[in-house]
Amino acid sequence: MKNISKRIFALAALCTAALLFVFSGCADDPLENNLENSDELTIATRGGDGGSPYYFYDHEGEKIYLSLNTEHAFFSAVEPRLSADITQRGDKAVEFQSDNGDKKQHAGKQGVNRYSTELSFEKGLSDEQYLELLADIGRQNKDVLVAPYFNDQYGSKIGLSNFFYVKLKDENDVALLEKTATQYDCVIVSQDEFMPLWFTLSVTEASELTALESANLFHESGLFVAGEPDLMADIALSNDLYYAQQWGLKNTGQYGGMSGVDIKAEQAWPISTGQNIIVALIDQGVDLDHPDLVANKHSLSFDCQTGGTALQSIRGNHGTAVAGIIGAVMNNTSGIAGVAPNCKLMSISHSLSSSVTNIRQQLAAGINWAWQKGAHVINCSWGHQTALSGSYITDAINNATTKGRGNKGCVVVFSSGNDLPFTTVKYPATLPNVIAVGAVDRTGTRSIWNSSQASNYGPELDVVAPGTDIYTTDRQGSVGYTSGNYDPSFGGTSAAAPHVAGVAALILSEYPDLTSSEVRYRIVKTAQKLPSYAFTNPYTNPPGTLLSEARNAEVGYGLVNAYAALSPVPYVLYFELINANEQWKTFLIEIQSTDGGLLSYQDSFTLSTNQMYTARYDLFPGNFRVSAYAETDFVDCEYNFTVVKGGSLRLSYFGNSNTPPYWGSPWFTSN
Amino acid sequence: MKKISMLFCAGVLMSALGAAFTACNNEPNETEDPETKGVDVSFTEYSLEEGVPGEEISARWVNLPDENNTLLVINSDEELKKYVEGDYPEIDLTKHTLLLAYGYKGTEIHSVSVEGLRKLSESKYKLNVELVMTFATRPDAWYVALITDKLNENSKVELNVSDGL
Repeated sequence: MKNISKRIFALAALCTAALLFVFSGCADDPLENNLENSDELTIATRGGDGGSPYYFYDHEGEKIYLSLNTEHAFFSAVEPRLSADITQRGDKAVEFQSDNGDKKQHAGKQGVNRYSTELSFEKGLSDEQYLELLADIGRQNKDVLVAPYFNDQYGSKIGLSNFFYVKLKDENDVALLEKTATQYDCVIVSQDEFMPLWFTLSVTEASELTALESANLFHESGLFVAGEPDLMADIALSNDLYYAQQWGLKNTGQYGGMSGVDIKAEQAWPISTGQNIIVALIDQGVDLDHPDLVANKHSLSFDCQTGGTALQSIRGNHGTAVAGIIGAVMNNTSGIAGVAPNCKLMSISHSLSSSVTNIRQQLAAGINWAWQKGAHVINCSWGHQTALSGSYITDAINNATTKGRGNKGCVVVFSSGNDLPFTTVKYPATLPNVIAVGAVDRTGTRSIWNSSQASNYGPELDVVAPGTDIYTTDRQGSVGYTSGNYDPSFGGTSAAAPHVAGVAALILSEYPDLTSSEVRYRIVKTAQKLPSYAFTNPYTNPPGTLLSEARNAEVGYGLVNAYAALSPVPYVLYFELINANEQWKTFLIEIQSTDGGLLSYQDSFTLSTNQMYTARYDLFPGNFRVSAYAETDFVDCEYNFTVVKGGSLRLSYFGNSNTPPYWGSPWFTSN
Repeated sequence: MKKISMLFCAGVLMSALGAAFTACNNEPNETEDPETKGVDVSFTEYSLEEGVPGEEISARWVNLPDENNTLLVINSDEELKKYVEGDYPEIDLTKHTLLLAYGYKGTEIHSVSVEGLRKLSESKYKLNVELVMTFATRPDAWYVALITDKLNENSKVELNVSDGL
């Protein structure tokens, strides 16, 4: 397992000779001959055209190729911790674990119990830098097993452990296996209880080869039926057929994406799946008999153009694609998973065609019908800056956001548009009481499809969501965007908005008493700050308002985060300021996050002698600074504090009777 | 807005009919007012999707310049092959010219129709395309391909696209 980079060259050089030897069939006793010529036994685990390295393993006679994933590596150690030398080289280690739940991992007859973990590294390492890093870690930490990570053909992260599996040709070949294992400093861990020809082996600190290389060595030796590495993949929460393609829900870096650029759906689903929430789609109608949607079909439907209420009024392909993103059924082994896979989908149809007359009245009717019939969330993946703007549709939206859900308000979500050269957010996404959603691609960059099509942005944009190459449902049969039942490349802010509508459904399912503005607040406040963009907070809050969040013009407050939006936060900070002065005083206070300017509360008030100002602030866990200022005396106070689960903060001001006037020591108690 | 447009169109139609009767059934004469009227040029619409409806598209346009509302005049197989991927219906480009017009919209396109190809002068043509748009915020593209009799090498074809918005 040591000296990985050196071994690469050695193995590449030996590749040709090894293959010639193995396939020459010259050995009468393959074991003796192979073991006596152990160097030549080295198999072409690495090698390649023109020296370009590659990795593979055998799957039923076919070579499955892998590429290096330089952002992660596997570590196995005797104790469940890594040395400072290792951790300082990485960004983040996942929790130690063993293959048998919490039990210690057993690495073979040496009687050494081991723990394993995955360590992340900075992005952008070349293959050579990565391999040298692992080799150096191996040299410096003799008791640690190190193995590289890979990407499979779909770009998914694949880990490699210290284990590999070997199948004997005959039950009498155990001695052959033992001898071969010893030759290559491997150990036999166990024999399969039910299939006794299968053995689990492990590489050790003395091994020169990784488990992948060892498996290929044993397999290609011809001495055994099979040799397979123990590969590790992230286990998906969903078994849906195309789930691995849904980068917006879980981005593993597939197809050139950036791992982690997603809406954190998997972390959110254990908390909420949208149960008991009705999401209305004012769109071109939904194929509610689609096998991935039918279980979530709401019993009511409305046709904006006829006023009819028959189900299945479909006037285009768009609505079915949008519906799948919101509420496709999960874990039915087919198709995709929706963001809120247990919500109910209420179809409100309109062709959305610009040639339809009276369209404002019709769309307004759809919105009003939705909130009156019990919709909790309304998704609208449409808009236009002139043809639709006006008070008619605005009035209907205001009704929904104030009168819907028993006056708690429906959450109304609109797409920002995709038009160039006019980049501005399109009406009705410009309205302050809707959530305006733009699109990002799988790398976390604002979606730009070509010189004429890009996600619209501006000061009205709230958040962004996945909007490029979105796998979703398609109308069944010959109609629809494709000839099948799914569209692998739906896109635009039309695809982004339903991701947020789905998140709103998750929130309301868990917190049904929140108002529509509180849901919007959660979504905005918990959005993920994308690394490619600078987020600044140029705004000052009017006294008494709570929200001031760092934002960026192109991506708003960031990428929606379903998990964070469901967290049982914010925590409460009880704030007190006592005026121990002998005069009335006016005070200015500001509480600001020092973790990136995510939050800023400001207030101004006047207190008489010995009067106390109290306030209650909702804070997410983090580091904060309070600044207080006593006017006319020009005396400042600054204090840093950390909120874990809320707490109490008290400031006292001593004035004219003291010379000079001063602030007492801030008093903070954390819960 | 739409009522006004219809009245305007009706007026234009009446004027056109009047002009047609005035011409006393003579063959159109491009020298009379070629810039504004011209003559209709016959064409056949060409589709890469020729085949069984509902089947996956067998060929598609590729490598088109990233420009909006653009028209390419294609006069050879070599040129055509640059822009098509897959098996496409053959055209005899020794006898014909292929006009390929395309563009992109930020919202979904409901329908695309060719409103006419006019010859304005010996080497000047105008293609009118009309789009019916939706307000659905899905980026969309449109393509129009026409086969005409061979145009002169130095012919210029102007593209006029209207989307009613």
